[in-house]
Amino acid sequence: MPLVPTRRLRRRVWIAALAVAGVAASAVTANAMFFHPPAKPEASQTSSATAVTTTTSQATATPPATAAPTTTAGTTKAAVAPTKAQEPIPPNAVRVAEFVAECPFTHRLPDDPIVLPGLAGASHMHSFFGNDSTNAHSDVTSLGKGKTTCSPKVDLSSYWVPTLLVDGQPVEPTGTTFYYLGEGVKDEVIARTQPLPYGLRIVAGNAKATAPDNSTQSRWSCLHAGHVGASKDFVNCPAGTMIESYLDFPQCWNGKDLDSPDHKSHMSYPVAGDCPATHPVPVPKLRQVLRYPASGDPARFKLSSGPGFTMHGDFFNVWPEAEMAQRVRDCINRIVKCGPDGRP
Amino acid sequence: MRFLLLALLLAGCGAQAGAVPPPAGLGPTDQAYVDLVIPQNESTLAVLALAGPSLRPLADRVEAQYRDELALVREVLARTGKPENDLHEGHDMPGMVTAAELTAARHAPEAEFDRRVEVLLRTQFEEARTVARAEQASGTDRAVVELSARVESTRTEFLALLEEVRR
Repeated sequence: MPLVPTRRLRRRVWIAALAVAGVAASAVTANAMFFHPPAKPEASQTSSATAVTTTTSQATATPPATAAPTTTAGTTKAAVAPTKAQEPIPPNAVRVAEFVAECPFTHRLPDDPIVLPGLAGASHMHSFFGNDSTNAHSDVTSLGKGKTTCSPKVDLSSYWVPTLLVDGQPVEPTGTTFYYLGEGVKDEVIARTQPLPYGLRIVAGNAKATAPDNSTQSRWSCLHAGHVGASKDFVNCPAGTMIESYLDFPQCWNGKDLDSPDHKSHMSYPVAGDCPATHPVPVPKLRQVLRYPASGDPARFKLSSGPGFTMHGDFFNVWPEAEMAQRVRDCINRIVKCGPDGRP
Repeated sequence: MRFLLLALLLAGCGAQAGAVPPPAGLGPTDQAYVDLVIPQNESTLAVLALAGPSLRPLADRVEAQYRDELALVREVLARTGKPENDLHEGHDMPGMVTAAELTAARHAPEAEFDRRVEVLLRTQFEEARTVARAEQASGTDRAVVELSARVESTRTEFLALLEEVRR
């Protein structure tokens, strides 16, 4: 058999590649493709003295395993029960712990209500998704009164990232999916995953990275060109495909703080399939997937925060508590794939 | 007695819980502003060190002002018991001069050199003024708001002086 590929063989390879690319569009396969070992827990070395004291008193007061929703009463209102009754799992359900919000681009501003609250114009340019009222002055009250581009409309959360510049011009993603996933921890941990608390703020990725390294959480790849592979920096996507960014947010919460002085230490990535004792409360993992109408030479690409590996995402949770609780109960805890409506 | 102790403990826990406790006196906007002034001023000092003879008198004035501000900000942090953080170290943010920009200016051809330094300074002054205005609108700590008012007026003055040097 000669090794020279025939036209038919080449066509078969193409068909196979396209099929693989199609499957890759689902978050499930994306997990396998983009899985990377969890970072070491970002412990409290940068957190303030108050935060450390609270952690200690908390740890001695309650065993970490039971430090679930009851201990959150100090920061959030008492856990809200879902208002909708639970439906049985349909026989054709996909057994992946997932619900989703699709939140198109809303606006750009040099603002950051988490890192630079009240300081309009102090940030590099950000592209915002979901809640259309987000600015430097936003808080959970103002966002709760905003409108959203999200499907479902009940998700008033705000999501933002540094703006992508192609040849110096801003380009906004046309695919803007925010997955909430159970994966990353063992099934028994998925089963006791708690709703993300109302008003929680999370920053993922490293806006100040000077090189791609172990702290780089974000990945760049190409939609419909899986062979290009995932990278910590921009990739060269073939013409007709789209460059896409994947970013997984930490899914272990310290059970007390809706934010922290460095905006990171109240959250942690899981360790060995479970949440560490410092951050004992498992919450859904937010996976941000952005697809940009851009391809080709990545030398033309830049983020407003710097090179591709400075990709980061900010999340301000404004899901109504009953909606979040229902989705976590029905989709995450039971390991059932749900759509934007929170049903299988 | 035991009951009282328990009640005190509970009260203590309740007081500690909550979102980012604002440091004594400093609101979240004041804190964010202070965190920004340090890298903004420090990264500018490196540019001022490059200034040639035509910019030297201005550079010396700016340097004195920026060092005063840094001392004041560190006093505020000490007063409120907040550590100086490196939240924005190496951050590519408006108003901060990045290592790459500094290197580019350093290696600019001689004919372009002064112009490069001027552009870096002008951009920095303008951004510092924008952020200072935001602090005046949203800040709550008197010392920090006063500092931002001084930043706004001095940057306006520096921008005018920079224009004069160019002429």
